[in-house]
Amino acid sequence: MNVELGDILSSLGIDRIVSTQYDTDSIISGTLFKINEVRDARSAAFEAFGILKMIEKPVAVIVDESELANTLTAATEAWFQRKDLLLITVNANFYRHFDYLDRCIVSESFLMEGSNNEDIVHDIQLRHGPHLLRTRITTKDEIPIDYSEVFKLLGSYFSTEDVLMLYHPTKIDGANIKELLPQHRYCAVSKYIGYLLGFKGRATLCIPERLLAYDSNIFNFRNISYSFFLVVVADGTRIMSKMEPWIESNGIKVINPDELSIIDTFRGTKPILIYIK
Amino acid sequence: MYTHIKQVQIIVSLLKQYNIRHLVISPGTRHVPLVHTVEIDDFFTCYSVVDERSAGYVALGLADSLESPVCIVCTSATASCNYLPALQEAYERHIPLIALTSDRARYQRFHGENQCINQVDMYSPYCKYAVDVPLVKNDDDYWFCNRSVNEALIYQNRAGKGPIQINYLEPLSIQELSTFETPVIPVTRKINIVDGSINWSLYSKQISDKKVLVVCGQYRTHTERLKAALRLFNEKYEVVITTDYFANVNDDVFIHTPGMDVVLNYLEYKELQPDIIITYGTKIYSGFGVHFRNKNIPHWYIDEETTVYDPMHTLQNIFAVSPEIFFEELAKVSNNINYRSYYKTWKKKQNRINFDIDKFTNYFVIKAVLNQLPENSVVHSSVLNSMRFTNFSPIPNNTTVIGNICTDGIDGALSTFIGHAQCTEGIALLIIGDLSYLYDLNEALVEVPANVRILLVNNNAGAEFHYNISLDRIPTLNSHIAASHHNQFFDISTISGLEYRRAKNAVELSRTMESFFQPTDHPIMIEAVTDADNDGRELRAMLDRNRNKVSFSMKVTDKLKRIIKEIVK
Repeated sequence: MNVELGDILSSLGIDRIVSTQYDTDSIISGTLFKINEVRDARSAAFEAFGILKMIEKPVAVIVDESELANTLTAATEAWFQRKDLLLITVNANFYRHFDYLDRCIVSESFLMEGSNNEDIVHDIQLRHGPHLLRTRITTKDEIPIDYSEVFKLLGSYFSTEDVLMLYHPTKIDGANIKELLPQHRYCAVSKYIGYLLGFKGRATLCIPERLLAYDSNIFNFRNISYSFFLVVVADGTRIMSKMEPWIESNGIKVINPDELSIIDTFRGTKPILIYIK
Repeated sequence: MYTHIKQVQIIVSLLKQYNIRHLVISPGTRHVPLVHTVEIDDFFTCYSVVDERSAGYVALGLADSLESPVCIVCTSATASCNYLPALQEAYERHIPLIALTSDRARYQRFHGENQCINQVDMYSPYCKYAVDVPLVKNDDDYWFCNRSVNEALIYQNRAGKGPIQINYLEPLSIQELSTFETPVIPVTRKINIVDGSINWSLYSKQISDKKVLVVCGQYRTHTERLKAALRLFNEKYEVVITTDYFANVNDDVFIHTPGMDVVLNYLEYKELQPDIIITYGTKIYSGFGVHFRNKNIPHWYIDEETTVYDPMHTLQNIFAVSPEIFFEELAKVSNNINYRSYYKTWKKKQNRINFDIDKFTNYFVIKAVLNQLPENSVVHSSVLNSMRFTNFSPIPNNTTVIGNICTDGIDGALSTFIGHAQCTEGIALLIIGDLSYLYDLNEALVEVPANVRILLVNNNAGAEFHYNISLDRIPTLNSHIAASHHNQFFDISTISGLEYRRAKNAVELSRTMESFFQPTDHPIMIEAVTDADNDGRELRAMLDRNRNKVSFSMKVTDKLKRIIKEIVK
């Protein structure tokens, strides 16, 4: 855990944090701060804002800098309400400037080796409104996903012309494979649905189930193509079990590995989601 | 004689009123109206330096020794670029420079116009505040220009001093630039900052024997001290205190205005017109501000950070104190009492409004549920109809009501609400529409506290558009504008493990509401299904029922009254 960050938050009187990170414990100690985890940074920022409104003290939200854009909307509301929402980024790239946030933050600070904590606290306390605190704190890289089990199970359902979209795969071979990078994990299904709208052939998307936490509301889209063929791989987050009734209620057929034989019955007549546990 | 160009007159008048006397001027054409106007006015001291970079540094030294702001004045394009080094240093040393950069032909920017670069906010980040002032062609332009220049000069002193930029447009014609036929520069409005040790008796006198309207805005969530201060203030002046639920200062002696602002006609507004308006907070939900805009009614705004907030266009004073202190202090220094005659006029108008509803609509549902709300609950209203109908319904005075009313966004309501629910022991109620709930569905995956109650009004579309536009005007409304869908929320409620109840009519609704607010070990959702087009139609009809028509004779009487008034004057 990062001692400096803890000190800064304590000096600011902050004791509530909302984090999008899976390893928040490595960033900040949960024994000193009450931490909520919310995956979608947009929701996380709003939840932090909701807490702030009740306790009337500054609240921090920790996001990866690659997903900072998702906080723009909550930051804007907090800017208008002049409330001290502290946006903390990890894995910061100090060579990048976020011009879009200029209109809705009242201070920007950098936590790195040699930075003065007192100066940071002073800058944040100067005015009321959202603040951006960018840090070089690094989090573990996501482990790439080995989809070989998926191919073993479903290989016969893919032809060589099919486009395969894989989220963060271990290795890529094959001409028609499109890789989705971890920093582009938001709304993977939405992007896939859009891709199908403009694509004549067949395309399959393979994602771990945790990605649904960034994209749960797209399933009632009116124009989901019947060629929709989504493979969701279980990852222990159990999000799929919560989402399954909602997904099915939108006319998407959810198929489990023990009933793969029915794929042919539905393929081309109904959007299909295959859930591999 | 001085220039007739309005934006320059505004700048010059405000420089005088802020007591800013020193200008370092570099040669050129575009800024001629400003330069000649100040150089012949004894109030100002002008210096000439050709190189703008040197001019900036001369001004820096001068401002440093005077410990007061100094202007640097130049023509357009690269001239202004040369100020940057001095502005950077001024920013780092907290020295108050004012860069007055003249600009030209905005629409021709980047399309062949001479000496025309992008000067808007060009010194960022080495500039505390930058404004961009247009050519003044009408009243709106005039107000915007006046407000912008005031803003820049006020924000120069906010949270430490530093440089600011006022970029202002000048006409293209040399003839116009070099015409000086105005004998006197008219005095424009200065927005005053009232801070330090405030002479409260002075301000008390200014509002004594006046009709004072206090419009409470969104400020804090917990407002016990403010409520007490408002009550004290309410006893001591001829005042009407108006609120909406988002202000969180509900009290029976204040006037709850939502809905009133929509149905009153212009003659009724005239009866309610105050002599002075006092506001605080970041956003006023009710629309009264707009109706009293440009009516020449002085506006006092209370904000510790001296934010310029000018919805009525008549902002006169900003009190740099908390509203609690403002109302307490003014109550302390007054021996008057509120005779309530102004209040009675308002009360009469409020009493004639009847927002009863008997048809099963989105409003019916929200009102019925709020009717059973227990004391000390927290309510979050999502957006549009949720906010509107929450405010149309009676609730216990100690309810806390929150909404993201500043940006009025459809996004984030569920997330914000879950944040509230975690921080209260009592009931937390979310009032939300179908589109808004779906919008923020990712938040449904978090653990939802047991004190959560959700009233989801599902009219299978954005009902707002069935109210303000309606199918009669756009038959394809549901395709994209209102984004209709066929979702039912049972399958959505399971995402968060909510107990699910459904109501399609009044009878079912009262059944679903049984023990809805009783403490439980799990959260509960009611999905109330209504028809969007019917919802819109009924709301329009209800508002229409509450509108008093202005008859021909009323119009004539009003006109005559005005004429007689003019003659008497």
